[in-house]
Amino acid sequence: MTASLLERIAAGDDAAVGETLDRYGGLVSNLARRYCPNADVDDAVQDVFISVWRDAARFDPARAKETTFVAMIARRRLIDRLRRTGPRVDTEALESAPEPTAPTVNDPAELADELDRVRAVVGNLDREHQHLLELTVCEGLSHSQAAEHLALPLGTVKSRVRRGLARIREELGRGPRRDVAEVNA
Amino acid sequence: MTTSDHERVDELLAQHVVDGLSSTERRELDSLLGARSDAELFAWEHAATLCDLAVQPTPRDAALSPALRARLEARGHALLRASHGADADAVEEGERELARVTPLRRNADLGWWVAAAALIMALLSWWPTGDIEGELSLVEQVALLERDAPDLQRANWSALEDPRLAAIQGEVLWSDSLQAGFMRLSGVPRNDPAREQYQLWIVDQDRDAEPVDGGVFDVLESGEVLIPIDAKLAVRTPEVFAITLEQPGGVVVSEGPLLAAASMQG
Repeated sequence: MTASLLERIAAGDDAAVGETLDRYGGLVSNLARRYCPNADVDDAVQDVFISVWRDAARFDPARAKETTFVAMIARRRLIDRLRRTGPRVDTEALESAPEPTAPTVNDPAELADELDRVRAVVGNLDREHQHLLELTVCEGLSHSQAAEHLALPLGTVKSRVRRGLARIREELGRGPRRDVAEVNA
Repeated sequence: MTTSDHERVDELLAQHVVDGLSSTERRELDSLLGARSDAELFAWEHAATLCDLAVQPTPRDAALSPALRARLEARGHALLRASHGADADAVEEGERELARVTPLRRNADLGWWVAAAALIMALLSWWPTGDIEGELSLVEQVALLERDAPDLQRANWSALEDPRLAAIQGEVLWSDSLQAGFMRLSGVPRNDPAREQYQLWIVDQDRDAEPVDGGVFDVLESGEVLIPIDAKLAVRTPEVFAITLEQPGGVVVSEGPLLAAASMQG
C-alpha cells in the first residue's frame, strides 16, 4: 500500500515536502484568507504548513482523510491566530442568514461523500441554525460573539451549535442518531 | 452515564470546538469520558472541520505564489533535516537553515526564541485558559498548586545583561496539565502602572510563532510578591519564562530587551 504524503513526511522523505505544498497549498491559503483576511496570509500559511509537517506523525488514515487532517490543523492554527490578533467580525455576513448551501465543484474527491452527507444534515436545519454554524464553525466567532451579533441568548446559541455539531458528528458514523426535528428544537 | 451527563459531555465537546476548554472543563470532560476523551475531542473537531469545508466551499485552485512556495519548501526541507538528520552535523545544519528562512519580526535580542521554539514536534491542543478557581488568597492558591499539580515545574529567575532587574530572585511555578502557575519574585523594582508595566512571556517549544503572552503585572511593594501567570494561549512545553518592561497594558510582540529569564531546562 502506498504511503500517504504525511506518512512520507513523518518518515523523513524530503520529496514529500514539495508535494504537500502542491496538494494542499490552495486549501491552506484559501482557509488562511478566510480566517485571517486582515493579517499576513503568507505568514499564516507558513505557520500552518510547519504545523502540518511537525504533526505528520500523528496522522492516522483510519481516523480521518489526509485532506481533513490538514484542514483540521489549519483551522486550529488559524483560529489560534484569529484569537491572538482579536476577533474579526464580518458585518456583511452577520446581517442576514446565508442562502442554503449549494454543492461545490471544488470538493476534494476523497471528501465528496463526507461533505455531501454533512451538507444534507446542514440543509435540513433551519436558516438561523445554519447561520449559527457558519458564524461559529466557519468564521471562528465564539459563542458569546455570535450571541451578541445575532441578539440571541447565549444559552440558545450554545444549545443550537451543540445540537448541530452533534448531528454532524453522528452522521459521520460515530454516535447515536438523532431526529432532525430534535436538532432544530 | 445519565442523560444529563450525556448532555454535559456534548456541551463540553461543542465548547472545545468553538471556544476552547478551560483546564477545569477539560478535567470534567476527562472525568465523564475517561479514556474516550481524546477520541471524542478529535471526532468533534473532525465534524467541525467537515462542516466548515461543506458550508464554506474552499476551492483548492489558488496556487501558492512562487516566492512563498520557495520559502516554505526551504523551511520544510530544513525541518525534516533537523528532525531526521542522521548525524549531529545534519541536525545542526537544519537548525541553522530553519533560523535563516524563518521570518523574524522580533528584535534581534529575542532571536534566540526562534531557535528555542523550532526544535520540538507540536502537540495538538486548543486554547484552554488557566484557572485556579475559588476565593483563595494567592498564598493559598500557590499552596494548592504545589500540593495538587501532578506535573509542577519550577525554575529560578536569573538576571540578564539589562541592569534593571539585576537583583531579581525567586522562581516560576507552572503546571502544564492545569495550565496554571505563579511567579514568586523579589528584588524587582516597583513600576508606575501609568507609565509602564512588566510583561511575562513564555517560550513554548511547541509553538513556532511568537512567545506566548503571560500577562502584564505590577510590582507595587518591596519584598516578595506573588504574581499569577495569565497565559493568553495554551502553553504546551514551556522552555523559558522571560520578563520585559512594556507600555501600560502590554504589547502583542515585544521589542524591548529581556530583563530576566527562568529556564525550565535548568
